[in-house]
Amino acid sequence: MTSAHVALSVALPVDELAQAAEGASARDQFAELLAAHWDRAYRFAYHLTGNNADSDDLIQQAAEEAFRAFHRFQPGTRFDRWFFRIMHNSFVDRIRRDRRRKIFSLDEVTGAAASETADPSAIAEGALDGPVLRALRALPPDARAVVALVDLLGLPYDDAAEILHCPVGTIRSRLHRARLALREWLRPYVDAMKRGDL
Amino acid sequence: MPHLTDQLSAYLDGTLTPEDAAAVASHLAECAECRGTLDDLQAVRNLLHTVPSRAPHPSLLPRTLAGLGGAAHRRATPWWMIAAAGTALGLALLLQVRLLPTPHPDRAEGAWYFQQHAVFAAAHPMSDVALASYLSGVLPYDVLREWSPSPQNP
Ligand SMILES: [Zn+2]
Repeated sequence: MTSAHVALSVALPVDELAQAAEGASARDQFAELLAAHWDRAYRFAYHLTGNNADSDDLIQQAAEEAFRAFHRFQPGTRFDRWFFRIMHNSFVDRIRRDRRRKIFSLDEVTGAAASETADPSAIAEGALDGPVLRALRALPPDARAVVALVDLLGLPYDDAAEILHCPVGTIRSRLHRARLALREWLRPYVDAMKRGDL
Repeated sequence: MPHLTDQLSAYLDGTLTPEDAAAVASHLAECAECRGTLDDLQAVRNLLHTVPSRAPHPSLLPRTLAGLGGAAHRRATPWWMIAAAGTALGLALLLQVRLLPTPHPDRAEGAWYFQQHAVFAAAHPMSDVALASYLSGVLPYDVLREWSPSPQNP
């Protein structure tokens, strides 16, 4: 037809073939690792963003970024920590970009969510998800990330420090402050838990 | 002696050295307030453990895997494609101004076609083929119109 058309049909398949031969095994390897850690990674994404739509976006973006950087991943090291770190970086970038979303400090937030989260009627129904999740969402992002990693995903401080790229001492103090804030916001549930009613 | 702070959380999580843990334990033995805080922290931690796992939608992983490398591929658009798109855009804009009334009596429709083409060519460089075909008279105008999206539903 035209010279452009000829160039396309000749040039592209060769290019694609070269890429496929080179990238096939890395892609499969990446897919396998991602699948193995997918559910936990999603859980982290969910607690970072606080809703399904944003966690879908976040984990997909992180997967794309991790895939592009996969040649830098060292086999034998822990993929989940590596991927979590990439995802957290994406999350932080998102927050910085999103100027509509104000980032509160922990001190500013303390007390703000107390009236919303204290709903003792939920204790009888055992419906804790709502209040606890709302309280988690009220934490500033950096505190939320630590709580998600240590208390919800059960990671050691060292791993949390590696993922969040900060000293272990920072993890420790952030976690403590976050737990104290949650204690205030969730006071009725905390007391019920201590009485053994939950 | 001042009350304990984040040592309490670390103590609860078992991350203190044996020496630090012993120091915390001896403070706790003397201080009801810190014991109360420790109990609270334990309760908070237990509350957090009641949060159920959030499962991703089953289609999310396959969709994510299928999309991998898509963005990289877009970035790897060869220079000649970009050049072709630019040329097509320039030509289309030029033709819209200069040449349209001659080939087609329906000026509004022709103008619309070339506008669409300019936009389309920028996104899909190979639509330049369509423009070239049109210019060289290989394809009649009616066929091109059929190929392009309709004005009502672009
Ligand atoms: Zn004390």
